[in-house]
Amino acid sequence: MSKLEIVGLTKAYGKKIANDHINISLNCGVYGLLGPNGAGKTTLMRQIVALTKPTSGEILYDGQKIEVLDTKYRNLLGYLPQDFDAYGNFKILEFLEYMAALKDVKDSKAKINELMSLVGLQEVKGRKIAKLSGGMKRRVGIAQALLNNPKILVLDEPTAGLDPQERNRFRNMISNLGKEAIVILSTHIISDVEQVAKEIIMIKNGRVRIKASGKELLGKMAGKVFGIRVKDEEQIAEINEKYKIVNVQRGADYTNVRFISHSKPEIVDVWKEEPMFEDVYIEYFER
Amino acid sequence: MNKLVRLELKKAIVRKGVLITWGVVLFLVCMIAGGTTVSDSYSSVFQKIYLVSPLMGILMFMIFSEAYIMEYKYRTDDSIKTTKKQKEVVIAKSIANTIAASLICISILAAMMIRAASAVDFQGLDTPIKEIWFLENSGSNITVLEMAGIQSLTFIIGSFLFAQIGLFLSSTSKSAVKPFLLGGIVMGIPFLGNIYGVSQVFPLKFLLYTPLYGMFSSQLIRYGAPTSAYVFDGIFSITIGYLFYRFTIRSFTRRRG
Repeated sequence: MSKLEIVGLTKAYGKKIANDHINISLNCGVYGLLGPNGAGKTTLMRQIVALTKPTSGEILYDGQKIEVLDTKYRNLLGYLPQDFDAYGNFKILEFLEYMAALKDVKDSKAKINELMSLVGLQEVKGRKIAKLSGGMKRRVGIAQALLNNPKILVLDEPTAGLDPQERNRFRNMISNLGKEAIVILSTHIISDVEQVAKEIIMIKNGRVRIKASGKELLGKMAGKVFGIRVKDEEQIAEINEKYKIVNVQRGADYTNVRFISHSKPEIVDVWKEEPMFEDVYIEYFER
Repeated sequence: MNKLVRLELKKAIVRKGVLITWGVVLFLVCMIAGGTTVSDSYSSVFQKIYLVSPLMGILMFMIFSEAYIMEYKYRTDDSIKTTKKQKEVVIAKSIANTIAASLICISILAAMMIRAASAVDFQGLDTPIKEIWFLENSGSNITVLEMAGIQSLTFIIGSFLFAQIGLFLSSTSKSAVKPFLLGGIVMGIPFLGNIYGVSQVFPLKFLLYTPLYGMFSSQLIRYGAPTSAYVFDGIFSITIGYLFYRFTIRSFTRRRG
């Protein structure tokens, strides 16, 4: 089974450390890369796909440095950049033909047709890219990343602009791909990864905070998530001072507050809640 | 590679600004070519083709300057650089832009030739160039049509050189302005040197060895350039063009630090 190892990876831009001694090991499967804006997710991904050089540390694929592998490594890659775009006066089909030529895809026509069906763009394949919505462009981006049946698929915010149905379709597709490839998916949207990711890597201020399966992460939150029905805003403010609020649900004549506490809260009438990924996100990123 | 070159050619040429400017230039050159006699008509082509070189230069550098800026603008450079054939993109752009520039130059020449020939009922295409006043100093027996063929060939060689310079400037720039202006200067200085007769700074004998004159072989023939000028211009264009092409590969494909 193929292995991608990131060893002591550090990336600095002047005095700013974007990635700080990152060590992770990845096999086949889907990995969710979660973190707030500026956490270092995109910086990490750009080094994995050999677009930028690390300041120190290395990335190894099956024990070999990716710089040494060079073209062989690129041949394994599929990459969807965060801010993907394409030539406005090209039709979708033309752009995918162009990318297929760059990836040296054999029988590119059949592959392109297959991918167009997969991402639901078959009916608009003759449309110019300038005329596409943001979600459709994103789907073109996903299609081009999959042209060469990549063994390492790196997707930066792949579901941005997709509607819920498209997002669901995308999750199913990623889940299938993860059976034979290393899929690294960065997102703000927890639901993108909670159902499909083998492991979730949480990154903040350039460092990996935790790398664990969804089940393990939820397990760590057991007994720490509570709910309470409040009467007024003052009570919410009091809770906010002492604990970490996850969300506030306002009904017609009630307000429920979900919050995290590491010990039994000193409030009456609280109840325990089953942990969700949103709780995990707040716990690790809202300190 | 054929597919890449074809699609790069589309990127280069199929743009509103380029197509409109090209159309306008073709219309203009048709208005200025032609005469009442065979000598006047064909002389007007070889004389004025050089005078429209600034318009050719504008068109060419409109194309070259956008070549890599387009990748940066659409952010497709990241997608390209993660692929196996990122270097082939540079080769494809190099070929496609050379073809595009050659098409521009040769189409302008062709439009002028057709206009000039039609003015004299398509007579005289087999006239030796020593019998048309603009090239009478050449003493050469090559025909007008053959001269047009030679001019086309030197256009292709010159297009290769200017394309590589323009592409390199485009690959290292954040906007199309710098490559457009710098490329224009490289191409335009010998032109200005001739027009303004700055013969003490740019004596004609040196101008004959510049890439611009090398591209406009009718100028070399008119001024009786020595064989060394032809050889130098040819080797210079190909060698320097190739060097700039290598610089562009390095510039576009390097991993950012």
